[in-house]
Amino acid sequence: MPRVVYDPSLSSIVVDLLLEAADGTSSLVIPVVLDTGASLTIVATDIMAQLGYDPANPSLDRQRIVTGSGIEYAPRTTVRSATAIGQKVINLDVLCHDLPPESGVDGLLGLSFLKHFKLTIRFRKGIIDLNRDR
Amino acid sequence: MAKSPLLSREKIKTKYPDQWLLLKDYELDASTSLRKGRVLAHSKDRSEIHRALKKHTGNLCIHFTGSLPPDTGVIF
Repeated sequence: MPRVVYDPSLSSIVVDLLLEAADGTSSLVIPVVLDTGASLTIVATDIMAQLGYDPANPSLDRQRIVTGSGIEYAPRTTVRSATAIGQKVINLDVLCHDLPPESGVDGLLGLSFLKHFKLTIRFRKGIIDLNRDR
Repeated sequence: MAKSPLLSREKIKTKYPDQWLLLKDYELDASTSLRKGRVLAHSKDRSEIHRALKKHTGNLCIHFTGSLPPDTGVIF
């Protein structure tokens, strides 16, 4: 059973996200915040560029996003595969958008990833289980 | 140049507190959490690690050993 144990006294839940490069020959692991309030998974633009997804490409769709500080637009692309908490999603929609360095993360793990699974968070114990919802 | 040693996640946190790191030869556990890796670069500044990322290829891992101050809330 895929399970992550985290420190429940911390301000946010951070997990590792493994992203496959556009050409399928390499991968990159980044820290992301688990965010059930985010519709999409977000990854920093530098990271997406390194993986060969070309976030500056003007032909990419730009997604309107509502943030805590207003409306923004960010390029949206599809990552070959993304793996977190022991579960993998093929062809995951990702927004290319930077979060402040003070956040301690390079992105958000949002509902575009989490909706494929049954997610259980035991907040008092700091345990996350992510399973295929059969 | 000598290879940096393969360090556990705990050792990395002890040796490089409150820092951003770029790792290679990393190992993940069954829950996709970092277990160990070799440090290629480390910095208090995330942008330095993003710059270092551009100089390397292959399977890499970015890791942050710090945490937000307890009196800081997070909303995105």
